[in-house]
Amino acid sequence: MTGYGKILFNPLFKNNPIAIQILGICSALAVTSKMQTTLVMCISVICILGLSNLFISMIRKFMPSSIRLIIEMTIIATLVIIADQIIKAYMFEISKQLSVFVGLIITNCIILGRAEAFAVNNPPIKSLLDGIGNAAGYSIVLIQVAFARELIGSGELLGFTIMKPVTEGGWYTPNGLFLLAPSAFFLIGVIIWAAKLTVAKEDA
Amino acid sequence: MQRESDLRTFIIALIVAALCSFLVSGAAVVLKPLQEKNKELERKKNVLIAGGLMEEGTDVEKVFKSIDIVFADMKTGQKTEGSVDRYFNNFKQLSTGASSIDLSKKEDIAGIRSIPSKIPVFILRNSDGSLDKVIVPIYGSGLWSTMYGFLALESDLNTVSGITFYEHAETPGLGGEIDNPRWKKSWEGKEIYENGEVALSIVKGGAKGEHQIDSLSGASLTSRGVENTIKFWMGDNAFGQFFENMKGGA
Repeated sequence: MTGYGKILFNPLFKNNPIAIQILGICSALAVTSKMQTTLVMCISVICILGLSNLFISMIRKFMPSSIRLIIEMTIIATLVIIADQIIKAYMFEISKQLSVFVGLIITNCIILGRAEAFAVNNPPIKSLLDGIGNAAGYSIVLIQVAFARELIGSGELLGFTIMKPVTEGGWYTPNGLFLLAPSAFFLIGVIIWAAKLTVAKEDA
Repeated sequence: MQRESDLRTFIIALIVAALCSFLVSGAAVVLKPLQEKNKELERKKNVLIAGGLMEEGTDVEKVFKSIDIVFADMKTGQKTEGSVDRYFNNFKQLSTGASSIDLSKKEDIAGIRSIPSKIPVFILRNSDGSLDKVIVPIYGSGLWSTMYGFLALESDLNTVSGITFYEHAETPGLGGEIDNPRWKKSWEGKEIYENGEVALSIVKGGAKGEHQIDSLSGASLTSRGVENTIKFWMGDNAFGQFFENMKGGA
Protein backbone atom coordinates (compact mmCIF):
# COMPACT_ATOMS: atom_id res chain seq x y z
CA MET A 1 0.00 0.00 0.00
CA THR A 2 1.21 3.52 -0.75
CA GLY A 3 1.91 5.98 2.05
CA TYR A 4 -1.37 7.84 1.62
CA GLY A 5 -3.47 4.70 1.43
CA LYS A 6 -1.85 3.37 4.55
CA ILE A 7 -2.62 6.55 6.48
CA LEU A 8 -6.26 6.38 5.43
CA PHE A 9 -6.91 2.65 5.85
CA ASN A 10 -4.71 1.64 8.76
CA PRO A 11 -6.96 3.19 11.42
CA LEU A 12 -9.99 1.36 10.02
CA PHE A 13 -9.00 -2.01 11.45
CA LYS A 14 -5.33 -2.49 12.19
CA ASN A 15 -4.96 0.62 14.34
CA ASN A 16 -8.59 1.28 15.15
CA PRO A 17 -8.97 4.23 17.56
CA ILE A 18 -11.56 2.50 19.75
CA ALA A 19 -10.57 -1.15 19.50
CA ILE A 20 -6.77 -0.77 19.55
CA GLN A 21 -6.00 2.72 20.84
CA ILE A 22 -8.98 2.64 23.29
CA LEU A 23 -9.88 6.28 22.58
CA GLY A 24 -13.31 7.86 22.37
CA ILE A 25 -15.15 5.26 24.44
CA CYS A 26 -17.35 7.85 26.16
CA SER A 27 -19.41 8.83 23.13
CA ALA A 28 -19.49 5.21 21.99
CA LEU A 29 -21.56 4.50 25.11
CA ALA A 30 -23.82 7.49 24.90
CA VAL A 31 -25.10 7.74 21.36
CA THR A 32 -25.30 4.12 20.22
CA SER A 33 -28.76 3.08 21.36
CA LYS A 34 -30.14 3.89 17.89
CA MET A 35 -28.61 3.64 14.41
CA GLN A 36 -29.93 6.99 13.24
CA THR A 37 -28.34 9.09 15.97
CA THR A 38 -25.18 7.05 15.64
CA LEU A 39 -24.89 7.77 11.92
CA VAL A 40 -25.33 11.51 12.44
CA MET A 41 -22.72 11.39 15.20
CA CYS A 42 -20.31 9.45 12.97
CA ILE A 43 -20.69 11.87 10.06
CA SER A 44 -20.11 14.83 12.41
CA VAL A 45 -16.99 13.24 13.85
CA ILE A 46 -15.62 12.42 10.38
CA CYS A 47 -16.09 16.03 9.24
CA ILE A 48 -14.76 17.55 12.45
CA LEU A 49 -11.74 15.29 12.80
CA GLY A 50 -10.80 15.60 9.12
CA LEU A 51 -11.06 19.37 9.14
CA SER A 52 -9.43 19.89 12.53
CA ASN A 53 -6.46 17.80 11.44
CA LEU A 54 -6.29 19.73 8.16
CA PHE A 55 -6.38 23.18 9.75
CA ILE A 56 -4.03 22.33 12.57
CA SER A 57 -1.57 20.85 10.10
CA MET A 58 -1.81 23.95 7.91
CA ILE A 59 -0.80 26.28 10.73
CA ARG A 60 1.56 23.83 12.44
CA LYS A 61 4.65 25.78 11.38
CA PHE A 62 3.35 29.05 12.82
CA MET A 63 2.04 27.63 16.05
CA PRO A 64 4.08 28.75 19.08
CA SER A 65 4.53 25.64 21.21
CA SER A 66 3.65 27.48 24.42
CA ILE A 67 0.02 27.92 23.37
CA ARG A 68 -0.18 24.93 21.05
CA LEU A 69 -2.90 23.06 22.96
CA ILE A 70 -5.03 26.15 23.40
CA ILE A 71 -4.96 26.86 19.68
CA GLU A 72 -5.80 23.26 18.87
CA MET A 73 -8.74 23.29 21.27
CA THR A 74 -9.98 26.61 19.87
CA ILE A 75 -10.02 25.20 16.35
CA ILE A 76 -11.72 21.98 17.46
CA ALA A 77 -14.30 23.83 19.52
CA THR A 78 -15.09 26.14 16.61
CA LEU A 79 -15.70 23.19 14.29
CA VAL A 80 -17.84 21.41 16.86
CA ILE A 81 -20.02 24.45 17.53
CA ILE A 82 -20.58 24.95 13.81
CA ALA A 83 -21.48 21.27 13.39
CA ASP A 84 -23.88 21.51 16.33
CA GLN A 85 -25.54 24.60 14.86
CA ILE A 86 -25.95 22.91 11.48
CA ILE A 87 -27.52 19.82 13.04
CA LYS A 88 -29.89 21.99 15.07
CA ALA A 89 -30.93 23.86 11.94
CA TYR A 90 -31.37 20.97 9.53
CA MET A 91 -31.99 17.88 11.69
CA PHE A 92 -34.00 19.15 14.62
CA GLU A 93 -35.49 15.83 15.75
CA ILE A 94 -32.09 14.17 15.80
CA SER A 95 -30.48 17.12 17.54
CA LYS A 96 -32.99 16.69 20.36
CA GLN A 97 -31.92 13.08 20.80
CA LEU A 98 -28.21 13.82 20.54
CA SER A 99 -28.67 16.76 22.94
CA VAL A 100 -25.33 17.52 24.57
CA PHE A 101 -23.34 14.81 22.87
CA VAL A 102 -22.52 16.78 19.73
CA GLY A 103 -21.07 19.51 21.91
CA LEU A 104 -19.13 16.86 23.79
CA ILE A 105 -17.25 15.92 20.61
CA ILE A 106 -14.91 18.71 21.77
CA THR A 107 -13.79 16.44 24.58
CA ASN A 108 -13.62 13.32 22.42
CA CYS A 109 -10.10 12.12 23.05
CA ILE A 110 -9.64 10.93 19.46
CA ILE A 111 -9.76 14.47 18.11
CA LEU A 112 -7.14 16.12 20.28
CA GLY A 113 -5.25 12.82 20.24
CA ARG A 114 -4.89 12.82 16.45
CA ALA A 115 -4.10 16.53 16.38
CA GLU A 116 -1.25 16.06 18.84
CA ALA A 117 -0.02 12.72 17.54
CA PHE A 118 -0.25 13.37 13.82
CA ALA A 119 -1.35 16.78 12.56
CA VAL A 120 1.34 18.83 14.31
CA ASN A 121 4.08 16.84 12.59
CA ASN A 122 2.66 16.07 9.15
CA PRO A 123 1.61 17.97 6.00
CA PRO A 124 -2.04 18.93 5.47
CA ILE A 125 -3.19 16.27 2.98
CA LYS A 126 -1.74 13.45 5.04
CA SER A 127 -3.33 14.91 8.18
CA LEU A 128 -6.69 15.18 6.48
CA LEU A 129 -6.50 11.53 5.46
CA ASP A 130 -5.39 10.51 8.93
CA GLY A 131 -8.34 12.39 10.42
CA ILE A 132 -10.88 10.85 8.06
CA GLY A 133 -9.35 7.38 8.52
CA ASN A 134 -9.45 7.54 12.30
CA ALA A 135 -12.96 8.96 12.38
CA ALA A 136 -14.06 6.21 9.99
CA GLY A 137 -12.45 3.60 12.22
CA TYR A 138 -14.34 5.10 15.16
CA SER A 139 -17.53 5.05 13.09
CA ILE A 140 -17.13 1.38 12.16
CA VAL A 141 -17.09 0.37 15.81
CA LEU A 142 -19.93 2.73 16.71
CA ILE A 143 -22.11 1.40 13.92
CA GLN A 144 -21.48 -2.21 14.97
CA VAL A 145 -22.44 -1.37 18.55
CA ALA A 146 -25.52 0.58 17.48
CA PHE A 147 -26.59 -2.21 15.13
CA ALA A 148 -26.54 -4.76 17.96
CA ARG A 149 -28.12 -2.39 20.48
CA GLU A 150 -31.01 -1.23 18.36
CA LEU A 151 -31.76 -4.71 17.03
CA ILE A 152 -31.65 -6.47 20.37
CA GLY A 153 -32.89 -3.57 22.47
CA SER A 154 -35.93 -2.59 20.43
CA GLY A 155 -36.19 -5.05 17.54
CA GLU A 156 -35.66 -2.25 15.03
CA LEU A 157 -33.00 -0.99 12.62
CA LEU A 158 -32.97 2.68 11.59
CA GLY A 159 -36.49 2.85 13.01
CA PHE A 160 -37.86 0.03 10.84
CA THR A 161 -39.26 -2.94 12.71
CA ILE A 162 -37.19 -6.05 12.04
CA MET A 163 -38.39 -8.27 14.85
CA LYS A 164 -41.92 -7.40 15.92
CA PRO A 165 -41.99 -6.85 19.69
CA VAL A 166 -44.58 -8.53 21.90
CA THR A 167 -46.08 -5.17 22.89
CA GLU A 168 -47.19 -4.68 19.29
CA GLY A 169 -48.50 -8.18 18.83
CA GLY A 170 -45.29 -9.80 17.60
CA TRP A 171 -43.11 -12.52 19.08
CA TYR A 172 -39.94 -10.71 20.15
CA THR A 173 -39.37 -9.62 23.74
CA PRO A 174 -36.96 -6.67 23.54
CA ASN A 175 -33.99 -6.81 25.87
CA GLY A 176 -34.12 -3.49 27.69
CA LEU A 177 -30.54 -3.81 28.91
CA PHE A 178 -29.34 -3.09 25.39
CA LEU A 179 -30.92 0.35 25.49
CA LEU A 180 -28.85 1.26 28.54
CA ALA A 181 -25.23 2.41 28.47
CA PRO A 182 -23.70 -0.67 30.19
CA SER A 183 -24.61 -2.87 27.22
CA ALA A 184 -22.26 -0.79 25.07
CA PHE A 185 -19.50 -1.56 27.55
CA PHE A 186 -20.03 -5.29 27.04
CA LEU A 187 -20.20 -4.97 23.26
CA ILE A 188 -17.11 -2.76 23.03
CA GLY A 189 -15.31 -5.17 25.33
CA VAL A 190 -16.07 -8.02 22.94
CA ILE A 191 -14.98 -5.93 19.97
CA ILE A 192 -11.70 -4.95 21.64
CA TRP A 193 -11.05 -8.59 22.53
CA ALA A 194 -11.70 -9.70 18.93
CA ALA A 195 -9.54 -6.90 17.54
CA LYS A 196 -6.60 -7.61 19.85
CA LEU A 197 -6.80 -11.29 18.99
CA THR A 198 -6.65 -10.61 15.25
CA VAL A 199 -3.86 -8.06 15.52
CA ALA A 200 -1.82 -10.36 17.77
CA LYS A 201 -2.16 -13.15 15.23
CA GLU A 202 -1.01 -10.91 12.40
CA ASP A 203 2.01 -9.73 14.38
CA ALA A 204 3.10 -13.25 15.33
CA MET B 1 10.81 37.31 14.19
CA GLN B 2 11.65 34.44 16.49
CA ARG B 3 9.12 31.60 16.61
CA GLU B 4 8.68 31.67 20.37
CA SER B 5 8.77 35.42 21.05
CA ASP B 6 5.99 36.78 23.26
CA LEU B 7 4.75 39.20 20.67
CA ARG B 8 4.46 36.51 18.05
CA THR B 9 2.62 34.19 20.41
CA PHE B 10 0.22 36.98 21.19
CA ILE B 11 -0.39 37.86 17.56
CA ILE B 12 -1.00 34.25 16.52
CA ALA B 13 -3.40 33.73 19.41
CA LEU B 14 -5.23 36.91 18.43
CA ILE B 15 -5.53 35.88 14.78
CA VAL B 16 -6.79 32.39 15.61
CA ALA B 17 -9.26 33.71 18.16
CA ALA B 18 -10.59 36.39 15.81
CA LEU B 19 -10.97 33.96 12.93
CA CYS B 20 -12.70 31.32 15.06
CA SER B 21 -15.07 33.75 16.71
CA PHE B 22 -15.94 35.13 13.30
CA LEU B 23 -16.79 31.64 12.05
CA VAL B 24 -18.83 30.71 15.13
CA SER B 25 -20.86 33.92 15.18
CA GLY B 26 -21.30 33.68 11.42
CA ALA B 27 -22.75 30.19 11.71
CA ALA B 28 -25.01 31.25 14.58
CA VAL B 29 -26.36 34.27 12.68
CA VAL B 30 -26.85 32.45 9.37
CA LEU B 31 -28.55 29.42 10.89
CA LYS B 32 -30.65 31.19 13.50
CA PRO B 33 -33.78 31.71 11.35
CA LEU B 34 -33.87 28.01 10.51
CA GLN B 35 -33.42 27.01 14.12
CA GLU B 36 -36.14 29.40 15.26
CA LYS B 37 -38.45 27.93 12.65
CA ASN B 38 -37.74 24.42 13.94
CA LYS B 39 -38.51 25.52 17.47
CA GLU B 40 -41.74 27.14 16.37
CA LEU B 41 -42.81 24.03 14.47
CA GLU B 42 -41.95 21.91 17.50
CA ARG B 43 -44.12 24.13 19.67
CA LYS B 44 -47.05 23.97 17.27
CA LYS B 45 -46.63 20.23 17.03
CA ASN B 46 -46.86 20.00 20.81
CA VAL B 47 -50.05 22.03 20.86
CA LEU B 48 -51.49 19.47 18.45
CA ILE B 49 -50.13 16.55 20.45
CA ALA B 50 -51.75 17.87 23.62
CA GLY B 51 -55.00 18.28 21.72
CA GLY B 52 -54.76 14.75 20.34
CA LEU B 53 -54.63 16.01 16.74
CA MET B 54 -51.18 14.78 15.89
CA GLU B 55 -50.91 11.61 13.86
CA GLU B 56 -48.19 10.39 11.57
CA GLY B 57 -48.10 12.51 8.44
CA THR B 58 -50.20 15.35 9.88
CA ASP B 59 -49.49 18.69 8.22
CA VAL B 60 -48.78 20.72 11.34
CA GLU B 61 -49.11 24.18 9.77
CA LYS B 62 -52.40 23.33 8.10
CA VAL B 63 -54.06 21.86 11.18
CA PHE B 64 -52.68 24.67 13.31
CA LYS B 65 -54.43 27.24 11.11
CA SER B 66 -57.80 25.76 12.08
CA ILE B 67 -57.16 26.53 15.74
CA ASP B 68 -58.67 29.64 17.31
CA ILE B 69 -56.13 31.60 19.29
CA VAL B 70 -57.24 34.09 21.92
CA PHE B 71 -55.31 35.69 24.73
CA ALA B 72 -56.28 35.38 28.36
CA ASP B 73 -55.71 38.38 30.58
CA MET B 74 -54.29 36.94 33.80
CA LYS B 75 -55.54 39.82 35.95
CA THR B 76 -59.13 40.05 34.84
CA GLY B 77 -59.69 36.63 33.30
CA GLN B 78 -61.05 38.31 30.17
CA LYS B 79 -60.31 37.54 26.54
CA THR B 80 -57.95 39.97 24.83
CA GLU B 81 -55.88 40.20 21.67
CA GLY B 82 -52.23 39.37 21.08
CA SER B 83 -49.70 37.80 18.77
CA VAL B 84 -48.63 34.24 19.44
CA ASP B 85 -45.31 34.56 17.61
CA ARG B 86 -44.51 37.66 19.59
CA TYR B 87 -45.49 35.90 22.81
CA PHE B 88 -43.15 32.94 22.34
CA ASN B 89 -40.30 34.87 20.74
CA ASN B 90 -40.23 37.48 23.49
CA PHE B 91 -41.22 35.12 26.26
CA LYS B 92 -38.35 36.16 28.57
CA GLN B 93 -39.19 39.85 28.38
CA LEU B 94 -42.93 39.29 28.65
CA SER B 95 -42.62 37.04 31.67
CA THR B 96 -40.29 39.28 33.66
CA GLY B 97 -40.60 42.81 32.28
CA ALA B 98 -43.12 45.58 32.75
CA SER B 99 -45.94 43.59 31.20
CA SER B 100 -45.60 40.76 33.70
CA ILE B 101 -47.32 40.02 36.98
CA ASP B 102 -45.11 39.40 39.99
CA LEU B 103 -46.17 36.53 42.18
CA SER B 104 -45.89 36.63 45.93
CA LYS B 105 -44.08 33.75 47.62
CA LYS B 106 -47.38 32.23 48.65
CA GLU B 107 -48.88 32.43 45.19
CA ASP B 108 -45.79 31.15 43.44
CA ILE B 109 -46.21 27.41 43.94
CA ALA B 110 -44.81 26.60 40.49
CA GLY B 111 -41.55 28.39 41.30
CA ILE B 112 -41.60 30.85 38.39
CA ARG B 113 -41.62 34.25 40.21
CA SER B 114 -43.61 36.16 37.60
CA ILE B 115 -45.87 35.44 34.64
CA PRO B 116 -46.81 37.35 31.49
CA SER B 117 -50.00 39.33 31.94
CA LYS B 118 -51.47 37.96 28.71
CA ILE B 119 -51.14 34.32 27.74
CA PRO B 120 -52.35 32.65 24.54
CA VAL B 121 -55.10 30.03 24.70
CA PHE B 122 -55.62 27.63 21.82
CA ILE B 123 -59.24 26.75 21.20
CA LEU B 124 -60.40 23.82 19.11
CA ARG B 125 -63.96 23.95 17.81
CA ASN B 126 -66.26 21.27 16.47
CA SER B 127 -67.56 21.67 12.92
CA ASP B 128 -70.73 23.33 14.29
CA GLY B 129 -68.65 25.93 16.10
CA SER B 130 -69.19 24.58 19.61
CA LEU B 131 -66.27 24.22 21.98
CA ASP B 132 -64.23 21.03 21.56
CA LYS B 133 -61.00 21.46 23.50
CA VAL B 134 -58.98 24.21 25.12
CA ILE B 135 -55.19 24.04 25.14
CA VAL B 136 -53.15 26.27 27.41
CA PRO B 137 -49.40 26.68 27.84
CA ILE B 138 -48.10 25.72 31.27
CA TYR B 139 -44.67 25.88 32.82
CA GLY B 140 -43.06 25.42 36.19
CA SER B 141 -39.92 24.33 38.00
CA GLY B 142 -39.04 20.67 38.08
CA LEU B 143 -35.94 19.37 39.79
CA TRP B 144 -33.29 20.98 37.55
CA SER B 145 -35.11 23.01 35.01
CA THR B 146 -38.21 24.91 34.07
CA MET B 147 -40.53 22.51 32.27
CA TYR B 148 -42.54 24.02 29.43
CA GLY B 149 -45.59 22.24 28.14
CA PHE B 150 -49.20 22.34 27.06
CA LEU B 151 -52.30 21.06 28.80
CA ALA B 152 -55.48 20.29 26.87
CA LEU B 153 -58.89 20.26 28.53
CA GLU B 154 -62.20 18.92 27.23
CA SER B 155 -65.11 21.30 26.64
CA ASP B 156 -66.21 20.99 30.28
CA LEU B 157 -62.94 22.81 31.16
CA ASN B 158 -62.34 20.19 33.81
CA THR B 159 -61.44 16.86 32.18
CA VAL B 160 -57.84 16.50 30.99
CA SER B 161 -57.61 15.58 27.34
CA GLY B 162 -53.82 15.54 27.04
CA ILE B 163 -50.55 16.95 28.31
CA THR B 164 -47.09 17.37 26.76
CA PHE B 165 -43.80 18.96 27.67
CA TYR B 166 -41.74 20.39 24.84
CA GLU B 167 -38.79 21.80 26.70
CA HIS B 168 -37.19 20.67 29.94
CA ALA B 169 -33.87 19.41 31.27
CA GLU B 170 -34.94 16.83 33.84
CA THR B 171 -32.80 13.74 34.43
CA PRO B 172 -33.06 11.44 31.41
CA GLY B 173 -34.71 8.14 32.37
CA LEU B 174 -36.13 9.49 35.65
CA GLY B 175 -37.69 12.95 35.62
CA GLY B 176 -37.20 12.99 31.86
CA GLU B 177 -39.95 10.39 31.73
CA ILE B 178 -42.46 13.26 31.76
CA ASP B 179 -42.06 12.76 28.01
CA ASN B 180 -43.07 9.11 28.31
CA PRO B 181 -46.19 8.52 26.15
CA ARG B 182 -47.55 5.95 28.59
CA TRP B 183 -47.35 8.35 31.51
CA LYS B 184 -48.88 11.15 29.49
CA LYS B 185 -51.67 8.79 28.54
CA SER B 186 -52.45 8.18 32.23
CA TRP B 187 -53.57 11.84 32.39
CA GLU B 188 -56.36 11.43 29.90
CA GLY B 189 -59.82 11.56 31.44
CA LYS B 190 -58.60 12.80 34.82
CA GLU B 191 -60.41 15.76 36.34
CA ILE B 192 -58.78 18.96 37.53
CA TYR B 193 -61.37 20.51 39.83
CA GLU B 194 -63.47 19.32 42.69
CA ASN B 195 -65.94 21.78 44.25
CA GLY B 196 -64.20 24.66 42.50
CA GLU B 197 -60.76 23.84 43.89
CA VAL B 198 -57.85 22.31 42.00
CA ALA B 199 -57.90 18.72 43.24
CA LEU B 200 -55.63 16.97 40.76
CA SER B 201 -52.66 15.44 42.53
CA ILE B 202 -49.77 13.15 41.71
CA VAL B 203 -49.46 10.32 44.20
CA LYS B 204 -46.93 7.58 44.83
CA GLY B 205 -48.31 4.20 43.86
CA GLY B 206 -51.91 3.23 43.25
CA ALA B 207 -53.57 6.33 41.87
CA LYS B 208 -57.31 6.08 42.43
CA GLY B 209 -60.29 7.98 41.11
CA GLU B 210 -60.56 10.96 38.82
CA HIS B 211 -58.17 13.26 40.62
CA GLN B 212 -55.04 11.17 41.10
CA ILE B 213 -52.14 10.35 38.80
CA ASP B 214 -49.30 7.95 39.50
CA SER B 215 -46.00 9.73 40.07
CA LEU B 216 -42.88 8.88 38.08
CA SER B 217 -40.74 6.36 39.89
CA GLY B 218 -37.41 7.79 40.97
CA ALA B 219 -38.54 11.31 40.24
CA SER B 220 -40.43 12.58 43.29
CA LEU B 221 -39.28 16.17 42.85
CA THR B 222 -40.06 16.34 39.15
CA SER B 223 -43.49 14.83 39.85
CA ARG B 224 -44.12 17.37 42.59
CA GLY B 225 -43.03 20.09 40.16
CA VAL B 226 -45.58 18.93 37.61
CA GLU B 227 -48.30 18.77 40.27
CA ASN B 228 -47.53 22.29 41.45
CA THR B 229 -47.40 23.53 37.87
CA ILE B 230 -50.90 22.22 37.26
CA LYS B 231 -52.09 23.57 40.60
CA PHE B 232 -50.77 27.02 39.79
CA TRP B 233 -51.95 27.33 36.20
CA MET B 234 -55.40 25.94 36.85
CA GLY B 235 -55.79 28.05 39.99
CA ASP B 236 -57.17 31.55 40.50
CA ASN B 237 -53.86 33.30 39.90
CA ALA B 238 -53.67 31.98 36.35
CA PHE B 239 -56.32 30.42 34.13
CA GLY B 240 -58.92 29.69 36.83
CA GLN B 241 -60.72 33.02 36.39
CA PHE B 242 -60.53 32.84 32.62
CA PHE B 243 -62.12 29.41 32.58
CA GLU B 244 -64.94 30.59 34.85
CA ASN B 245 -65.68 33.45 32.46
CA MET B 246 -65.50 31.11 29.51
CA LYS B 247 -67.99 28.74 31.06
CA GLY B 248 -70.36 31.65 31.69
CA GLY B 249 -69.91 33.21 28.24
CA ALA B 250 -69.58 30.32 25.83
